Amino acid sequence: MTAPALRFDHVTKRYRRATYRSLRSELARGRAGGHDTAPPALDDVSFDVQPGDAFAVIGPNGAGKSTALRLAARITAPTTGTIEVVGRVGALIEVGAGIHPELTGRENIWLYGAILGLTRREIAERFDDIVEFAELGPVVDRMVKHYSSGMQLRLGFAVAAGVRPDLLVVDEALAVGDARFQVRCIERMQELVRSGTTLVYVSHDLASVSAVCTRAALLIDGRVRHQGAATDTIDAYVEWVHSHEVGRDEAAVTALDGSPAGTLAPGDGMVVTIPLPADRRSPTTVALGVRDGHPWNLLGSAVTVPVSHPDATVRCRIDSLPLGTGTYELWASIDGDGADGAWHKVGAVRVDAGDGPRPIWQPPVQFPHTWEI
Amino acid sequence: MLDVVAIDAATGSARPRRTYRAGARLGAVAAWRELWAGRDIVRAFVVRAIRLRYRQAVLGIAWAVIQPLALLVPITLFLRDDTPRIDGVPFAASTLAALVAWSYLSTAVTTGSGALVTEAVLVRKTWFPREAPVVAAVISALVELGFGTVLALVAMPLLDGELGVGLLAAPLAVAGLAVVALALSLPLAALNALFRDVRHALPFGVLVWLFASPVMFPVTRLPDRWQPWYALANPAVGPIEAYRRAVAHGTWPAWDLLGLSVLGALLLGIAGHAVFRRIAPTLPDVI
Repeated sequence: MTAPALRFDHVTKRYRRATYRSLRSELARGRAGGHDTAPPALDDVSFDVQPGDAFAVIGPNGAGKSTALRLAARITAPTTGTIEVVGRVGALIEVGAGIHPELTGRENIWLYGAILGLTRREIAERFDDIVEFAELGPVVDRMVKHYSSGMQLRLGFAVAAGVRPDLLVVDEALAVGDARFQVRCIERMQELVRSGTTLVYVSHDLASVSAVCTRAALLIDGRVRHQGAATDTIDAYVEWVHSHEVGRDEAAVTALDGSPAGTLAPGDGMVVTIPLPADRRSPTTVALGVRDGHPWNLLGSAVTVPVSHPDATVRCRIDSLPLGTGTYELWASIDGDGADGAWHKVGAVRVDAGDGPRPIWQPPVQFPHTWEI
Repeated sequence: MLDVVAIDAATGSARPRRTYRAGARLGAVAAWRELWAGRDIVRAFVVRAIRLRYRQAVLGIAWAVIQPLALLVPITLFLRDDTPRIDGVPFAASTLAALVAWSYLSTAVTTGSGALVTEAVLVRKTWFPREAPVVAAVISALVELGFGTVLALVAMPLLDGELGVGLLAAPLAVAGLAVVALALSLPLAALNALFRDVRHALPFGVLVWLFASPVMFPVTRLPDRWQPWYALANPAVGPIEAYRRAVAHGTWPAWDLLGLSVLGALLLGIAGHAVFRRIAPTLPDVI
């Protein structure tokens, strides 16, 4: 039985109120009433990450995910509890936090590399790789303030990816950057995991979590709600999301055969039943949209329902849903008597490709295809 | 209070197990060991500071020279008649050396105590030995002291200063100045990040310290029996006097005063580092 690479043992983290303090106010307040009652960011959190695991921490905003990573990376200390780490920790909390605009790319590689814990010899050895990964060859001796934001980002990640720590901690670093960059980042993380690095990864992007991670913990309001295999934990998260939107699921979603749609496979069909307003005296326009968390529709269709329509609902039958792994929201806009045409969320559906080889990159909308390599 | 169980150098090959417990703080020795393991970070901060300051080289070097000179002129005009000669050396020559030494202390303590605020983004987003930027500020200010020393040595023949073997003691005086600057900067850097009052009080404090240090007057203006206490209470006394003697008088330092000042600086530094180690772990949450 090997020791875990990272262990959180009954860890609670409570932040002081984040106001700027002055000596005078501090003296005036005295030592007595010094504690605030804000809820803790992490509340009695325990989990183990085994060596070589790719572990994800998922959960809604404000659940304490970033706090957990900051604790693992030693940036901040727990209020109570113990954290154990084996080996060298590389933290990628914010790409480019250490990049200085007045220095050249070359100077920044040395500075940021040192801050991330690389020795001078390691930087010297990896310098060319870093420049190549960042694709900065011709401009490496120009000041970073003349770089595009994409170039700065590549520089930051390239240096961080050059760190080969025992435990790599990555926080949402991939939310920025273009698709190609994201692919390369995910590939690099997979590569590091294959070579034995333990990964702890925080992301909202459940697709990249399931692409990279095998195990996960679900944090809700600072507590561990579920932990285990990444797929199970993602399901638990999706279930939690749904259960917190009770009463808003106006639309009923079923599989094509009428059975309740739990999790669909890519390419499965579904039927969405949308209620119509009562007392319609003129035709009603119903639009159905599918979203992936952004405020626009990935897919959609609209229909005008005549007054003569006998039912209180209208059904949209989608023979095959061209979506990859992920959780999708169903939105509707109903325009006519008794409705104002505003878009509102009416349900959700989960698509899961299941086990098997995971795509290194996958935008939500899919199409039938094969690669000829 | 719980202790950190095992801290080891962050050197790849071995896999040290670290345990962070609530409320745990590094001991002083462990903290210095971590700083030593992270010396490449200090080096990187120093290189960056020097590059940024001297990128427009003319301005950067000129500043190191202008500061003591600008102070020397009025001080000499007003105070020379009180003390025309200091140990036989003309007032202007001796005072220029003291001003160069002071100029280093002032720069090092000002940048050193601002170092954690300056690096706020890094402190929030990454871990490194928190002493690193403070130490780097104190070290990188040495470049300015180097230029100042060259200026002083060039000016000495013009001002009738004495050059002699005592110049060999200049590195010792400089080391003393750096220890004093670090001892003060560590607690101030931590407090500065925590309380905004410190930032406002600092320029005033530095000014008071200037008047309380033997810059515009030699330490020999005090009665002999007070001098050791003065050197102990104000650790700037020994190194400034030592630097003055080395650069402008060509004589060896007053060893007793230098020793007492270094002792005072070490005591201050140990206490200051304790303050620093207490505050530093809380900074990422508040800075």
